[in-house]
Amino acid sequence: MTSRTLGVVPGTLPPALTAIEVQMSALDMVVQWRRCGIVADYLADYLALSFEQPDYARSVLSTVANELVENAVRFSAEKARPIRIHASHRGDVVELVVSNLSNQRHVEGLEKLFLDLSRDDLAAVFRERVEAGTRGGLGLLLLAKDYGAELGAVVVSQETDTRAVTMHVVLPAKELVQS
Amino acid sequence: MKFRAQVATTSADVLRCQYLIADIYNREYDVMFSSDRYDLDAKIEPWPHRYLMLLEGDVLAATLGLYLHDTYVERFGAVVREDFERLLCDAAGAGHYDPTNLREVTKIVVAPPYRGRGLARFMVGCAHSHDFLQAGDERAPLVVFCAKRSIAQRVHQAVGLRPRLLKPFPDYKVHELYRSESDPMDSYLIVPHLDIPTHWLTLKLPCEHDVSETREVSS
Repeated sequence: MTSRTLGVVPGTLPPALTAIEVQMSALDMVVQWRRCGIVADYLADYLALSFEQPDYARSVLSTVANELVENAVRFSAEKARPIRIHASHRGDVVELVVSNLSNQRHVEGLEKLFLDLSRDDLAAVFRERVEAGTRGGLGLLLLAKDYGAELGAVVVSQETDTRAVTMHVVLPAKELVQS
Repeated sequence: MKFRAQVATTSADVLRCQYLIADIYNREYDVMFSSDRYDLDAKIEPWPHRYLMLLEGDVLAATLGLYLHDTYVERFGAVVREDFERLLCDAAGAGHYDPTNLREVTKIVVAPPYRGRGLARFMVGCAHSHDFLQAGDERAPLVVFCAKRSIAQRVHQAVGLRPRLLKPFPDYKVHELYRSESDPMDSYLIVPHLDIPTHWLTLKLPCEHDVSETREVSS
């Protein structure tokens, strides 16, 4: 098994003040796509209570979590295998970590996305992808562009085509406060 | 090999059908499902309202769904009332049908271990029985479906159904892994008393059949 890191995976973050972890089957989401939103809203509700403007924080957290959940479901190679989401409020940042089993085709898409994320002008990257009709990855790109999120992924190659993907998203807490 | 065809009547039965359909449609076509929304560009499809199960013992070998209203053909196929009326004019004795009372047979799936035994054909035949189509409604509905040409020929026509071509089905992203230039999708109409063989139309559900016998009948 080999491990690779894409983008920015945080080293040491402040300790978690509030944390929640959920696990579900991707197939449950495929059967009822609305469940992605339900899980995202649940995580957002749980964490948003810690913020001064819980309604605003909830809205942002739900958007971010929904993007990550939908992405993990779409790119889970074995839909019966679990997806895990760990969300924590760590003072200055909120961290979301999503783990699923994917495949090489998706990992290649992620590699291209992280290459784009390393560019300075994310608005231009977004525009280019829209013009090229590349829908995949747009949501993740928006998290970085609109919310200042840092994105990273750890990819572990497993047997045959299977890849264990752990996506890390670190969101500055200031993005959860309406200015 | 004996199979039992029955309508899914409990919520557990419906869920078993939905999970088999979702597993296969997602694996083969990247499609997701929802009861309360659809977005064909995002590959999210609406669930049917009624399901037919094909069981070997307790194992769900195959299933299909039925839209009782808001059919896929009407919503996404760009088929309008005049298209139905045109075909009904050509079909003698079809004047008593209401072109707004439609059923659509859809989401035909066979679990991988059961493929290659003619189950899809047998199940599609069963799905065109009054017992499955009418769902307690006294009025006989018209039947529609949309499918690749190869499916209409190898499944529907192979069991004696006589589908009438309505019009080509428009391109949607949701079908990008299903249809192809060499095997395009179309919408079809079936006028029950003219286009469904009597042995299927009058079939009582649940029923048991030896599928190998059906293959001989349909070939």
